[in-house]
Amino acid sequence: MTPGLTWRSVLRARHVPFLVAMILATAALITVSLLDGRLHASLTRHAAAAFGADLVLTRTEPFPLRFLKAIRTPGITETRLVRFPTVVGSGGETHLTELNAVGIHYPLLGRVHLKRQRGGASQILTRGPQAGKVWITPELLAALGARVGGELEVGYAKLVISGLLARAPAVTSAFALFAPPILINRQMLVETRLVGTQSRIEYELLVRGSADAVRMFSARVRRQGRGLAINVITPRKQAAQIHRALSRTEHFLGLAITGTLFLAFLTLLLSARDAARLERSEVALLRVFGLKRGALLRHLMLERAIQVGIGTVLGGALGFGCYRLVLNGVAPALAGSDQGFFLLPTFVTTLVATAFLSYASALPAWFWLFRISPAEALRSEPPREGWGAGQATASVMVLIVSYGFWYALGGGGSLRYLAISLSLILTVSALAFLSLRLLGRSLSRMHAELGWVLSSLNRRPAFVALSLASLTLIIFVLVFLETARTSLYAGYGQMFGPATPNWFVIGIEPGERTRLKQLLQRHQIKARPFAPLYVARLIALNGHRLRARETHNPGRRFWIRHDQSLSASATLPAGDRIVAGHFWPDGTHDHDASLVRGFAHRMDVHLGDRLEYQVAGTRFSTRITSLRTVRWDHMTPNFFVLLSPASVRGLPHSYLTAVRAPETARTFLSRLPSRFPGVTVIDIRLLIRELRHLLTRAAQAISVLMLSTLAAALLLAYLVVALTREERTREITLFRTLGVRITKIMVWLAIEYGLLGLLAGALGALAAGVVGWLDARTLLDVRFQPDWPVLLAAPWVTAACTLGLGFLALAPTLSASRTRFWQALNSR
Amino acid sequence: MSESLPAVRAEQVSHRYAGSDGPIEILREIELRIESGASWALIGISGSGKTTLLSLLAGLEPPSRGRIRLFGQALDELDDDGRSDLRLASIGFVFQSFHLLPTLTAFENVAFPLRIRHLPDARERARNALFAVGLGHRLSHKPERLSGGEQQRVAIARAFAGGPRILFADEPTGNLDFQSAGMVADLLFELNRLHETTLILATHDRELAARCDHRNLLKEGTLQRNPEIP
Repeated sequence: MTPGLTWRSVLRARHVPFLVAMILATAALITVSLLDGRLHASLTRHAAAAFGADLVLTRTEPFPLRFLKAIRTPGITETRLVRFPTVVGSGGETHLTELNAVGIHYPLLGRVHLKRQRGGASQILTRGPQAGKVWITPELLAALGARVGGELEVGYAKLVISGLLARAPAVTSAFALFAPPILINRQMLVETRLVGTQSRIEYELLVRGSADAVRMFSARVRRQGRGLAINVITPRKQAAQIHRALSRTEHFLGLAITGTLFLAFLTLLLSARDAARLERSEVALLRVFGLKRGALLRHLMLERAIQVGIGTVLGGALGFGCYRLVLNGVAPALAGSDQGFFLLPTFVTTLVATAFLSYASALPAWFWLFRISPAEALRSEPPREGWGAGQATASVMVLIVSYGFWYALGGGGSLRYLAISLSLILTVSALAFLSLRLLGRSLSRMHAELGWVLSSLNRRPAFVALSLASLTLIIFVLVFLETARTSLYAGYGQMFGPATPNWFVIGIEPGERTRLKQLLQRHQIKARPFAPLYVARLIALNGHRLRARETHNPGRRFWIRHDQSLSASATLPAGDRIVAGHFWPDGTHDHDASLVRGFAHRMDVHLGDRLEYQVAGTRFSTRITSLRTVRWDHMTPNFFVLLSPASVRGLPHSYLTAVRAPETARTFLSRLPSRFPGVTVIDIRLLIRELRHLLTRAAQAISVLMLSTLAAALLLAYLVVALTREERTREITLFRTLGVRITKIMVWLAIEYGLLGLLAGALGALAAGVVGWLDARTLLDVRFQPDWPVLLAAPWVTAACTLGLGFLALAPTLSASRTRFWQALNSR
Repeated sequence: MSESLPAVRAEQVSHRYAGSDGPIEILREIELRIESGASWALIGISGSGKTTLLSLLAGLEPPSRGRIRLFGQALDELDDDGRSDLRLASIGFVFQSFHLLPTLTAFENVAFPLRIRHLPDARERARNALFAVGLGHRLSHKPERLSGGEQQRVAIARAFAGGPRILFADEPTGNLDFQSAGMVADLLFELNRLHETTLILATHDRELAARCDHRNLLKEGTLQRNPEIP
């Protein structure tokens, strides 16, 4: 075989379906991967904007200059922030605040929302306060009885209140606030003379840059920061709500990619097999003429390499075009200012992985061609269609290796779903066989036509197994994605439901609790249960005193140096789930503690460990008796450490609650601190708005991904039903020649395809329902919301689609069989 | 339908195909009459139109011009279903490439057209037909396990099992060795005689053609009756 002959062979019509399948599969994978990359980048950027940086380094001492020089990275912009609690005063009134001194370049990401007067419109700024000025929250202004333009005493410095903070990236994190923040210029820090006397200063280095630059920066920090007790915080780590939203969306994207990958693989596999089938006679003839297996292999490898090259380039271009179209036409919210080539690595790796997948998917077909005997050329009748055990095994092996390669290249997806899908294929094949055999036996006696079709299906076990498994997989992927999407939406609905709290009220003194409750009720404000809040410091673990300098665990060290907010409850809060140990019974007198699992992991503490805390000079000890998970996205107060009431009886505490207030109650809530001086009110509506915006983007992209997956699924379904087209063409023509009416043949086909579709649809929907239920509970962590109309309609829609695609695939045959039987019969 | 009517009658039959350089007239003004129970051979070189003429006579496709009658019934007066019913009940086919259904056993292949006709004795007829062609021991064998000669005998059993009034055979021995070809030819003529079936066969084999009552040469689209066979 010469390269010239190979080239001519590549361009022949029989390879067109494989090329088309490859172009479409590549395009689908490129579109999905780029959208995934874009969505991921968009969500991360959005989360980073809310967080104020792509990465934050924190330390309780100033960063050494040598360290700062050593970690300098091209493409990274940084700013420094110093944060500590301090008491500020105005006109004789004082209040505990969190002082934030910001440097140049602040804010690195996001915008500062500032009001020049109470109740005024917000200005959006991209800078911090100038020297001599201070920005404070409206609540602090009210608590101090100060006015905008007045003075605020911060240590020894007297600063002018020039604005009211509504939102400031990296500063106003609603859930960490128990002291309202104030924002000053870092230059003023010396004048305050507070640094040096403070023991609880947190030095922060905020960083902004591209993903690659941040990665490089992190690596340098890891190398250079050994022994410096530096805590690295990402947007995900910081904001539990954003973390949950991102995680769920990414799990969903992983599902979509795995599903599309599977469908693409099957599509390529089937079309490669189809092309090989058409090559069979020629290869056999070449073998008769003396072509050696080695030469045949070289020819096949070169032929496929050229096809994969063409298909990858065209598919890549088509995929990129679709992605741009989707971005600009369907989900413009995802398109940001950074639309350049930052997704180039994703594009290139997906292209390489898809080329590998395409090449590998042709291997079982090669294997088949490679083993063809020269005697094949002498056979008068073409052999039966179908896949032997060897090819099936080779296909599964290739799938696993391809997926491994894809995964290694960072193509996304989930190994868990690979295992689920493979198990599903095997189970469905077995179930299909059994169902058809049982149906065939019982129905053939009852109904002649149905019996004939069923016995006909039973005679093609390989086709039935393959088509049922493929169709079931298609339905499984689509219904599962739809079910997961519904559950995800329902989860979002729970987050933003009409009862979701939109304000936090903190610092409620025990004596004020009843009065405040009544007042809230009078204003028709729905309040969640008041949770007691104990500000405590961890001092010992299992009887050993803890010292920050001797502690290597950064999580534990952080909480040795910082106050922690604990709460107590006789019952498990709504939405929490015990994952280890037992929650204390109501009325217990034991000193028990329940920790959030992730927190316990970071602190490196376990069930049975004794924690010793100090609250306002009083020590108490408690034992960890349970670990739990909490719903961070419910906008209700959650605590890492929850204690049994007996543990903290008699200790000083305040209360906090989350309330759902109508828009009309805004003024009332803003003025609450003037009636209850210790109370701080936090407006989290902005945070909710941002989360909603974030999740709307995710939802849009998810819907688009569904469309890409659907396109791949339809192509695969067509290939599946067209799998035995040649055999059926001969059969149908023979039937017609022998005198079978065309209507009867169509009824047989309709029964056969309808039955296949119905069975595949039912099995796929069942599997999707079961896996969706498991997934909603374990992975997405949302309440399972079965989309009953979709689940119930799936078998019938599949039957209709299979029927339609089957007739579409056989349309030329059915049409030709009306006229030129004999010619069709004699053409091979 | 009277027995005195000819089995096949072609009146002024012409047929043309669309070619790349315009229509190609493959059959011209064919006139023929085949009596019931006769054996009739059609010979001609490859591409002369033998298969096309067989197709037209069997009602598999309509001629471009002219009329074909089977036992007096004009085929152009029947719709597609009517022609299908006629083929199922009255016509048998034997092909050069056998065309058995690969997923069915020999017995199922023979029984298939009978079951479609809902004949109550389909199983018995199929069994008898296979025994008649000497394949009583191969009932449960699939085509891939049968030799070429055996496959063609199964095809003949399938054609005769339904008791056709006309049998069309297109190169029935074309794919067979000398011995198998002789066996198949004997079988065809024996069954033709036994069942008084009209046998219409297209062949290159002049020896086979010589055994027929009538021979016709198809040349340049026209029929020559009883040509000299060297």
